[in-house]
Amino acid sequence: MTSREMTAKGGGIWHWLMQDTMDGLRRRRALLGYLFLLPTLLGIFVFTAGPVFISFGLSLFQWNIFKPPDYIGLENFERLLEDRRVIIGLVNTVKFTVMAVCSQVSIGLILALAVHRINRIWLRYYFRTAFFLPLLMSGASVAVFMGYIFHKEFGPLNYYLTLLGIPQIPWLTSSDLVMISIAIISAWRNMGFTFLIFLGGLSNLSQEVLDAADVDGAQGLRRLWSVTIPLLSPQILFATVTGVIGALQVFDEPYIMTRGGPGNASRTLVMVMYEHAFKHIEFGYGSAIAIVVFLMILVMAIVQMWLWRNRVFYQ
Amino acid sequence: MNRLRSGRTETTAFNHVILFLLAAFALGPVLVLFLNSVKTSEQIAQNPFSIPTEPRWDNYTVAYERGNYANTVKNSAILTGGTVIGVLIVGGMGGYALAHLEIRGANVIAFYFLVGTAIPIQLYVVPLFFLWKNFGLLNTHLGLIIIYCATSSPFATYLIRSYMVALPKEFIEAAKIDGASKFQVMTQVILPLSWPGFLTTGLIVGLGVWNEFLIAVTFMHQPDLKPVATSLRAFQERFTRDWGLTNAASVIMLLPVLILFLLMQRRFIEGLTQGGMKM
Repeated sequence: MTSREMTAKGGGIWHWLMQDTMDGLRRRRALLGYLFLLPTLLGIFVFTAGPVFISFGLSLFQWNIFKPPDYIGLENFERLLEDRRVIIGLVNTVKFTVMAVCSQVSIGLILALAVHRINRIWLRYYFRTAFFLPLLMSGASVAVFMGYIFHKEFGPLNYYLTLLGIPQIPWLTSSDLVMISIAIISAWRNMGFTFLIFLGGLSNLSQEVLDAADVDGAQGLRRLWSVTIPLLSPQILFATVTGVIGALQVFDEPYIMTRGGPGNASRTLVMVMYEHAFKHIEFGYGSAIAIVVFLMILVMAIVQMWLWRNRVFYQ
Repeated sequence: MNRLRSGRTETTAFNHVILFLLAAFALGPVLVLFLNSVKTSEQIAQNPFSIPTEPRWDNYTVAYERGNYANTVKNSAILTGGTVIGVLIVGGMGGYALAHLEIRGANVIAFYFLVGTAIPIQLYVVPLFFLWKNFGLLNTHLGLIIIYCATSSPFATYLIRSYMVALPKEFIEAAKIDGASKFQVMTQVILPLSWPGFLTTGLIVGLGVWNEFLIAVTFMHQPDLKPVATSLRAFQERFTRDWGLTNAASVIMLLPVLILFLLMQRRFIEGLTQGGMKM
């Protein structure tokens, strides 16, 4: 292409863009729009999308910083299928996700239903504040002081249980209980979020439908099951999907409270990945595990997008 | 009618029992945290829920000093402030673009943002670490601020957008009729009117940065530049058995957030629920 053609073409684009018509105006606005979005789009590309692609590439190599990367094809993935720690990490993550999401969604729902019935405004305000409070704390500080609350010998929880005659329970030191304890702690922290979502949903419910249910004599649990909960299903779906995305990433709490122990009982998949990359300095293998986590989250994001587009979504 | 009413009081009583139990579940741990932050280890061991008779306020000064909080609070303030300013600029631009400039492919952008925010940092921390090392951004506040800005701006963009979309069209039309240019409409009508959106976004993003732990430990090894979350962690490792001190250290970190929350509760709640995406 000669320089003349280039200027002609450039002039063409310039003309196309600066046309004094509605189309030209629309084009200029769109261009400005994309320019305004550019930093955010670029940020995701550099920090998320790009590195994920790099991880895809890295997962095909054997690489620690001492030796140059060595292409090994799919060997990392073969190794992953037989790696006991990876499998345990996956099982723990799934166990945790199911327990944490079920409890935070159901507690949030119960709370919202109960608070919604309260008529006194100050009492509503009080409960809203109370349940929101845990969300303000960092995962790290929740982990530190929940480590104390759930401590076998010194924790207040066991202190009161012993007063009731129950022997000390090894909440964080028994491999059967540790994941349950971490799920309880996570539900404690997140129930305020699900609660607020359901409360918002409840206050938007159509009064007509509820009145119709009243006329039909739907009462109590019956009404809850066949009227209120179905009407809240968009919010329930939303809370579940965001909850799953969050739970698949659980890291701070087990990392700080138990370091994955006892044994491997609270080691999550993200922790295994992090340890391979930073403790064992096996970047290729760490990246292979990262891809597994990425795919799980991608599936959830697609579900969420689908919900969004079909408007079964909390707005 | 009578039957209906009696049923109602019964369920109301049941309702209150559930609520108070769950409120105890929510607040109990926080209460223990505050109570024990002014006790000695011996007093805590005797009865974790007791009201301290002689509050040991010393715990706070000791924790503040030993945890080197003077330094870490300052560092966290720099990180939080820098990130909030950056995110509000970037998110404000993006939010405006999505709300008021008709853009094709908004759905694709939404999906890209969604996946972008849903991916945990652990997945890309390795390549990013090397990138940062090459750029000389490791162990710098700027390096951390850039990461925080990038990870929170999709959320911020969508949150600010939702406020800008909800602005009454009449204001914008009126300004146009008065002969305001597009730039004037943006700077003098849309931006000032959407300040609640900016405030809410700033609070939520600030909360996230103040509390952030993993990125900070990975990208910051310089002791005197570390933020408050890492200081709490280091504190816990060194003084494992002194629960009074550890609790005081936790409260120090929580306090600024708590005060802001009590002052601007509505904004926090709006931000976390309306944003629709969790940080």
